[in-house]
Amino acid sequence: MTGSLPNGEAHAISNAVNGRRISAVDVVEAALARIETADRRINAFTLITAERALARARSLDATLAAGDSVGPLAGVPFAVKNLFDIAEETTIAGSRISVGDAPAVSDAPAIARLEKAGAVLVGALNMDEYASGFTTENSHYGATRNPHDLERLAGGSSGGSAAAVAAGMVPLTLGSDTNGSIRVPSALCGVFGLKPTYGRLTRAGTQIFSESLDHVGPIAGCVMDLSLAYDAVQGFDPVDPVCAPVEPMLATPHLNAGLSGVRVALVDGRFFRRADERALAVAEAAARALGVTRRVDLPDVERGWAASLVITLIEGSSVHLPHLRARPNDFDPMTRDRFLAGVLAPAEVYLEAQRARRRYREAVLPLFDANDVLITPAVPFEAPAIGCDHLEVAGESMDPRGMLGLFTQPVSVIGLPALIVPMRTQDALPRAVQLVARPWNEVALFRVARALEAEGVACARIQRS
Amino acid sequence: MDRQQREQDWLDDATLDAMIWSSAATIRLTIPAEHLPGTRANLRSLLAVARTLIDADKPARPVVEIAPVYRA
Repeated sequence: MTGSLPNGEAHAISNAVNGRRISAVDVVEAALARIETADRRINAFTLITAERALARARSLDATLAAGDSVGPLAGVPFAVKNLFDIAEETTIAGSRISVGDAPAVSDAPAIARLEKAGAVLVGALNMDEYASGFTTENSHYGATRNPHDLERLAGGSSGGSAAAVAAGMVPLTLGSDTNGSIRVPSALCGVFGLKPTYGRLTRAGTQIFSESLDHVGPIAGCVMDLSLAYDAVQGFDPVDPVCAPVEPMLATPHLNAGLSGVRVALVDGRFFRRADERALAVAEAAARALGVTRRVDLPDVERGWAASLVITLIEGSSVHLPHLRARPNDFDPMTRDRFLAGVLAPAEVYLEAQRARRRYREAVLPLFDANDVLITPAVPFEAPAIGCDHLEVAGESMDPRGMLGLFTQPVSVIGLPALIVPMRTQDALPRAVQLVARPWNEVALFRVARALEAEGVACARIQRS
Repeated sequence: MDRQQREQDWLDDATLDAMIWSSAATIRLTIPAEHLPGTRANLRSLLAVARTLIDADKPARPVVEIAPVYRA
């Protein structure tokens, strides 16, 4: 079988493999070669599962040769944040501490579901230690670099997942998102990323950071690829106690349904103006491209942001108390001091944050009676330099390590689905917007994202060579 | 110490250190001295943010659920 490699998008690869114009083995070998070259600069991968990937690709080719089909992601190479269990590998979650853990006995269900759709796992990806952070400046495994400027942050905590797609190493990855850990790196690297409704996708077989806030989701180079991955992973899983018993609501069949009946508004107001001019301008541009004139504000958003910060730190720290007792010096210093503070916080602080979260949710949900999708800036500023701990933004002094999640945290704290759309601009670094919908309405997010992509105002920045 | 003084000292080093040592002892956690400054700085930030959520005039209500549960 001969043929040139498709352009690197997952759906194009799948069409070519399913049509037997190229073999899955050829695709996987090309991806492994690309990773070998590009990752020396990017540092996105912490594990490459070449032997497993090639065996899987050979199996797919044999299935196709026998006349059977292998699914909508046939032969598509993908990789996962290194907090997903991979059979026979240790789940390190960006830490040194977990390196000594026993290998996982099976793949996380999200990996298994992607492979059932024909995809091929090629490795695991760098992240902030235990998913605590927005920068992927990992002191154990090194910083993941932004493919569009190697001196800049890729974002985090799923920094490897976003950078691997933006660098053209794989067309598809999985990440996890507590406060913005899929959305922040997707925005900084210029790729599409989805954080679904809380409870939509199974988190079984992943290292949980914050139990009441964690989500998993896909990152990809176009809306079609994102929806194919999202659809493949959907479905109830009783092993994850918060995975909701809901039927899959497939997004792919609705991608090109247009915007008829979809009510879109731009989120405005003081909180969402804590951003540089370009961040605000691209949100305005997205609204203008869709003919959106309606503006809304998220009520009580400051309290929603504060609640997310408090809940995350306390829940996330508690999980690691045994290691804080036994091996404090094996943590990344920034993570350790954060976790030490978290385990010492009074219970009433946590409970009051949960009450505030509930009140905030009750205030926000009525917005969706009149609006289906809200547009916000994705992050307040472009990718900062690695090591940067201070920026002046809109007259405000900001520590980027915390403030990268300013616009994502008030969304995930109440479990709303959100999709990052990279915008086509002349800026040297990527700019993006965040689309937000009511719970379970991911389909509306995909329709709006696809409309922006079809209009030519949204486009991922992928380095193909 | 009167109420006004306590308010002024709320997040100072000595007050935070007392809280850190007593809370750490309660949960059987030893904090090495070299980790104290970072722990104190993070706890100060956490408590400052948490305080923005406290409305002393509003009666507490039960915490109905911990995670944002939605039913399709």
